[in-house]
Amino acid sequence: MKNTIKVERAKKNWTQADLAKHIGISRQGLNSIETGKFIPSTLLALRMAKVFNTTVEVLFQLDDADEV
Amino acid sequence: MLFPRALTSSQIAIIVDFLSIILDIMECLLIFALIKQFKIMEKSKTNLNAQSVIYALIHGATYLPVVWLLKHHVFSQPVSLAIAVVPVVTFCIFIFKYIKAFSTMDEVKQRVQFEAVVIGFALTALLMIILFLLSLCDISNQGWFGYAQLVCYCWLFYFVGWIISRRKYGV
Repeated sequence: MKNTIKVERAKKNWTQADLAKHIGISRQGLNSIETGKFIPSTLLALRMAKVFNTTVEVLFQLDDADEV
Repeated sequence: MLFPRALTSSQIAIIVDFLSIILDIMECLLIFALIKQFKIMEKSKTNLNAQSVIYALIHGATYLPVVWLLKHHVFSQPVSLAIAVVPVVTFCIFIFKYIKAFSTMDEVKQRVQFEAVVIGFALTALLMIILFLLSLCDISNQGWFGYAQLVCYCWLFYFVGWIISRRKYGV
């Protein structure tokens, strides 16, 4: 699964720590999500989409390998 | 008269009732104060994480001296039992605090802890199976693989799992 968290974060000029604080997780946790090592829950994905004022589909997309 | 006259049974009953009401009120106040203190402690997630680590250290600090004491001194059975219960109680408190801390962690940390516990449990179970099967073949070394050592291996395996999981998620 790929994501555009870094891009959305850059648009808002936020650091990882800023975003982590907004969605209520640790900075290390956010780094893990951003680098694709951890797939967040629906709740966290929705929270992220809300703070970026966008949709989950924009933030997260399926990889070719993830497609059925 | 310097001394009060003897109280009748009805007066004693009233006094006992009065004292029991006061005790009930004090008990309620104590419970209320404890709940309030507990809620204050609950507010801080970092505090809860630190508390679980502190209680793990307290458990360690009680477990090792108790093992030493029971190994090197002879006590009567009730006293030995009373001493042996101490690290059990501290371990139960630690587990309670750990579960409380777990519920306040973010999902990445929860996953790390979960995998650490799973790896720790699986490796400990594997070790116990191997030791049991070896004991059936009359191969055993109580000096290295006794009950006391198994506790240490369990912790060791948990930390192995923790390190593996942390590296996996880059936390």
